[in-house]
Amino acid sequence: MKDAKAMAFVNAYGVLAALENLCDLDSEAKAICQGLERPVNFCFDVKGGPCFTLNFTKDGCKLTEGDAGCTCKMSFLSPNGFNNLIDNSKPGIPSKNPKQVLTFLLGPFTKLTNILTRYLRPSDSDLKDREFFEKSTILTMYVIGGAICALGNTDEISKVSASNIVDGEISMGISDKVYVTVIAKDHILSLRKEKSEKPRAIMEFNSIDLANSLFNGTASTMAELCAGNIRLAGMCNMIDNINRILDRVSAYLA
Amino acid sequence: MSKYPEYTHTESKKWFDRALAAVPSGVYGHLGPSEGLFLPITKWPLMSDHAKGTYFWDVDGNRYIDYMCAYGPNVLGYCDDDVDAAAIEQLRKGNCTTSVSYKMVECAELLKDTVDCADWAFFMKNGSDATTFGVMCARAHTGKKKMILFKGYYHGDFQWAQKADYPGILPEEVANNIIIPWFDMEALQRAYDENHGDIAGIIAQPYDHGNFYDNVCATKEQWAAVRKFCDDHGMVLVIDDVRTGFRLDLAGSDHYYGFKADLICFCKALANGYNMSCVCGGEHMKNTASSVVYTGSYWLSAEPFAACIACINKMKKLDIPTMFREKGTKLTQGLVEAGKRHNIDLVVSGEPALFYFRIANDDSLFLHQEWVAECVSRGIFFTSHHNHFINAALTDEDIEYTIDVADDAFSVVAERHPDMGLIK
Repeated sequence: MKDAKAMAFVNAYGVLAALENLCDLDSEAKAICQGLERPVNFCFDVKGGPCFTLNFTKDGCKLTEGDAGCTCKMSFLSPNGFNNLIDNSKPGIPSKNPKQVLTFLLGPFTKLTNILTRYLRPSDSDLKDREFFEKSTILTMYVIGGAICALGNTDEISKVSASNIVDGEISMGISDKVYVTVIAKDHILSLRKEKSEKPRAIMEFNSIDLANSLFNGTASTMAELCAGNIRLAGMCNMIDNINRILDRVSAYLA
Repeated sequence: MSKYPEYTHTESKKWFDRALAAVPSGVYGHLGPSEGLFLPITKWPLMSDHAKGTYFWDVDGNRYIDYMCAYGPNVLGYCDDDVDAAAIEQLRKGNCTTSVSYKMVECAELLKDTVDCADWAFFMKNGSDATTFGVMCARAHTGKKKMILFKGYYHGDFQWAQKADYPGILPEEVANNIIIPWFDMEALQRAYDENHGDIAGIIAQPYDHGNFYDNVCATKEQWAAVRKFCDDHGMVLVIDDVRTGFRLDLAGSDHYYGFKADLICFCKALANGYNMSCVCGGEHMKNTASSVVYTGSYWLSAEPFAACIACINKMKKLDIPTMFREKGTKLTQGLVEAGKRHNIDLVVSGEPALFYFRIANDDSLFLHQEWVAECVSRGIFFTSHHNHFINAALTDEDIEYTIDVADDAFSVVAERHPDMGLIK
């Protein structure tokens, strides 16, 4: 029950958006950015799907909406085409500055996404390294935050959940590690990758180990809620509906 | 310094840990920490030991004045002597038997005499059984497919009554539900037209007593308009009186709001905790009810019928609706006044017998949840998201004690937030 368009938004605002955080967290990714001779503003333009630009500089990566200021662009004829880039590394059509598209895609971009994949689909041996484990969990949190918003705005079932979320900020996080804020406005969801100063609802995992177990499906959200290991507060109906979207996130990211 | 010391829950925690190992989520559903919103969980009792009247005691020996009443079934008081005596007597005579006990007939006759719209009664076990039967009857009666529900509805947990985004629910299972705003007659007409009249009926609670927002009472005029629409368009009007039944009016909440339902669903207050539910309806629906294939292993057991008869008779004797309106009003007025002494704006809504409240100083319920938790941990069992219930065993002294503890809990919350302009 996955919809290609919704999947494309998840891939854009969940998966690829995590490059922003990867370039902050991982030294190898940082080094790749620092090695750039000039900024690369790489636009992904998906017909019937998202259009966004990943802006790479020596300082890191930042995602912006649309194609304003892009230095190169890759176009896709459909959401499925874009999803193929993520799943099978099949590129789209270079539609602006093809030389930069190909050079960057085959070079820094592939290196960065390979590192990201290692964190998001970690091996058991990688997870034994505590630092890797924590970074992997934190990056997954960012992906989930982006995916919640992407699905809440585009997936038909998740839109039902979003339609029941009142306006306000929902703070989600792992205690003392990482926080994201889902902002609901007229049932449209957006993400801010920082702790909310004025949330209407809070969902906070009490440890990074618990968060990891929940993300990889080895722990039950309900059981951990009941055991008091997940802090809930405020307008819990907002969180209730976010949890329903989270179920869909699992299906999309499986 | 709090006047009422906080409870501890050492034994509760031990039992709950055992539950977690043996039962999904430990305690699932509305009686558990998750759906019951025990925030934070350390403030709440997790397992009870015994109950009597308006109180229950947890496994640590802490006593609670219970304003949730098991989410409604406790209407006369826990372990009511009269109801229990009738049930025990019936248990000794026979309960789940091949040939159904005559108690079923007595019970149905009593419901006919009590409920205004009832010419018959059909029995089952839970609220979901009853609402589902109501919907099946509406479809069987009209030969039409879709049902109209009011926004924020809760009609139990069977698949059709859940939502498309709930785990385990297929979109197809809820595809025939049309959701419109409460009493929006234009939306009702539009839904009817857009579906080319393929509407079997409306199922609705007597008023909007949803969670997390102020409850909104209905008016007789609003219901009269809905009743007329159903009559004009050949639709069945099903009232889900599972939560409110007998607490507003012994003749049914439709009677309270001045109209007559085609079908009305009862459960919680029916038998003071003995396990049964029922649907009552008018003569014009009786053949339809006969035609619907619907039964269960325990649905016609005799013990709950005996309990139900004793319960209804006692509710009549005590005039439960008047009593609950008075007790609910007295309690909530006292709580609001106590809040004012601390600069806390406690907003009360809904019918007094099933009051809902929230602290309105912030828009997030954070303060409200804190206050509710401080009340619970001092022996006043409120909840932060749902309407409340009262029972006939609640005394004026209990109400006064409740207000005093609540006042103390307001102090605790005020002291914790010196920046919010609250008064200790």
